[in-house]
Amino acid sequence: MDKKNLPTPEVIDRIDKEWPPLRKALLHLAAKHASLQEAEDIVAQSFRGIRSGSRVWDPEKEPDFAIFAGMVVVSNAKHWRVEAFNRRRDRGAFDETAQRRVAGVGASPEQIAILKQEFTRAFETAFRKGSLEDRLFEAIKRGINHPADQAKALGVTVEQIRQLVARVHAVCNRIIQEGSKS
Amino acid sequence: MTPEKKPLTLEETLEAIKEQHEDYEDVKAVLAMSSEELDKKLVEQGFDLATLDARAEAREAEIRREQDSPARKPWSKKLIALFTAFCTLVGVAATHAIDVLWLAGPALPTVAFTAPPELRHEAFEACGKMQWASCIAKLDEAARTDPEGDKDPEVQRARAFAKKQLALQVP
Repeated sequence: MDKKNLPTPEVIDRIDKEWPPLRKALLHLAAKHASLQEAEDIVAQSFRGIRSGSRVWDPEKEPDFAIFAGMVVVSNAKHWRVEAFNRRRDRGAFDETAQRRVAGVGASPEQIAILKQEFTRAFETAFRKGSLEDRLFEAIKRGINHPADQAKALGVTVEQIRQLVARVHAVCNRIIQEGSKS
Repeated sequence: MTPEKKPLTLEETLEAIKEQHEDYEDVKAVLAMSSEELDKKLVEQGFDLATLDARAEAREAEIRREQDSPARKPWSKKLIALFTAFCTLVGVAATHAIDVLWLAGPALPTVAFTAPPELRHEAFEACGKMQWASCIAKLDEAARTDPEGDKDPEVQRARAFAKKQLALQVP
């Protein structure tokens, strides 16, 4: 156990109080990614992890415990699911047409090279102004994929990261859609 | 802190952004559901609503007991330290009895006294981090000194799950 992350008794009290009303929602979230028995295990494991401090809940940075708990359950469910890699690969980024265009699938080698250049240029242009959105895009590109780590890297709260991700996602989607039409 | 990884490709970056965004939207949508809607969804997923809460409550209570047990409280460590010091003093007092000194030496202290619950806690932590081999090893080690505790359904479930995951990892 990581003692430095051990929740204070006050935080444990809040976890114990706020967890029971969330049970059904958390179970439903877990069951989207796992079998029934595994879903129950995942929810229990998430409770254990949050309560022990291995998944750190900082009420100052992330006041909404329900969102935090939900994200922990989804994260655990995805990790516990052995087929996660295949599922992610199958789902593809953005719509399929756009994904094929970004990847250049189904095009000649020359077209692939041009398409990749076009998309890379479009994304570089969109995310080079140094705004928080741009910095988040770069952080994710560097492999910083945990909201708490992203928040630390950008000097913002986790809640702000959630909003920034939505905006970055919208920008990416627009670029992909525009690229698909060209 | 997650260590920085190899830079992602453009596609991987887009996928990571999409996944993070969708997970959050999904969590928000589920949390916004009414109790009736959730009941309906859970039944559709195959859960037995009649026993669901009781099972969850029992597991959470067990986790609370385990995490809040005296064995995990700082005072118990002080007690162990006092016990160790006492044993050492007894050993020093019996300077002519080498075997007593040996008994009171460093081998006496904490292992048998606290190991099983502590080990099981560490095992669950390891399971939570998907360190399946470590999880099983710690559960086995705890079982050697506390076979009764090993019969706990949660311990057995954790071991079975860890073994299953470990088997799936073997190419």
